[in-house]
Amino acid sequence: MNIAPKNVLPLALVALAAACSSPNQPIAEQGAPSEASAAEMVLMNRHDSLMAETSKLYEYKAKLSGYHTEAAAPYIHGLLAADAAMMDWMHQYKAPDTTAAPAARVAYFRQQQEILAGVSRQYRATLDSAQRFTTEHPAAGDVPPASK
Amino acid sequence: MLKRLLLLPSLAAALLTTACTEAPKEAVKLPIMGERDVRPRADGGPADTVFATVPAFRLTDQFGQVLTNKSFAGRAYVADFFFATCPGICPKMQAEMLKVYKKFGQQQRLAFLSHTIDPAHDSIPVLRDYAERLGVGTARNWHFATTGAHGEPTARDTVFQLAQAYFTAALPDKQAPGGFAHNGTFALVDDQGHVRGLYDSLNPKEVDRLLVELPVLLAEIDSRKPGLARQ
Repeated sequence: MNIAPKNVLPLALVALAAACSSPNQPIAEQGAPSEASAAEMVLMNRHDSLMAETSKLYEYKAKLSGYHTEAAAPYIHGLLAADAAMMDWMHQYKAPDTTAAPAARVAYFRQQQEILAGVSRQYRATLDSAQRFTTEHPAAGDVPPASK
Repeated sequence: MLKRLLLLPSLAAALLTTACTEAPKEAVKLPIMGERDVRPRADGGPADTVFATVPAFRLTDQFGQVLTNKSFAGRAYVADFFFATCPGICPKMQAEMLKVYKKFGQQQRLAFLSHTIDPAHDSIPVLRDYAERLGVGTARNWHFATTGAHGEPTARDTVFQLAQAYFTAALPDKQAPGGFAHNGTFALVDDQGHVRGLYDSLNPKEVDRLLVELPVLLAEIDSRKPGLARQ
């Protein structure tokens, strides 16, 4: 096979791309996930999305703490309670060993899913309340300048 | 001509090796991310450009060592946010960080900084145990750090503010999404506290990009005298 020098660079770049990328086989290629694995994945996805929301809890908490008013206290308390519920869930969560009976694993993940759904509702409610409060009571820096 | 053709495979191999593991010879630089201020000079000279930096921090790592921005003076570092009991993305994220560490952990101009977002639970012994379980128990340049080593009541607030600050140091405010503390992002910070890259640890191509860009930053640091990070 003859390789013209002008073709070397594209070839090298293709080889480079192949060499620098790491194999990432989709799950489908490794066999379909079992019912237990699928239930675990659903649970973990919910956990990860809720954890991403935790940043918002703390953003609202910081904002509300700046109000220095008793009226904001219940909202801060609500945000902290939601955060505590999430951390409590995390600390009690013990994923069953993969050698456990599949039915037992599925039952555990579904039970945890229900608990986490409750935490999720708590997050939503407290975040919505905090948002409503801050919208109805904008902090000094949030008030748009009066038009002349 | 035959000789030239025989050289081609070794040339391609050399290019491959260089591109994947070494800094390019030319002075390619990573962009400095985030907001920048242009400040006119009193003497009428060219205006100064001031780039955003990560804010001042004070942390304690798994060895009980206090870390501030100054601890990373003259070194780049890769930062992420995790917690020891996280059953979700953290194990995968730290496995990816371990991959980066195995490749670049011996570099003196580089450190790794993993912040716990669960300071109430992740005490110094817990962080030490976590590092050991990850197989980096003796690594002195991978810091598993907490904002709450002394039971500070605002430790969790502090780490969430710090996480947000990394993102806002990297992106203009309007673009900065929330959730940096737990979305699996790695931040590459230079020796002067500027964020030079953000990488999604859950995307293998992004981790590969970090592996390619890290040597570029290290070469830049090598090309200047050690800078002083912001305190």
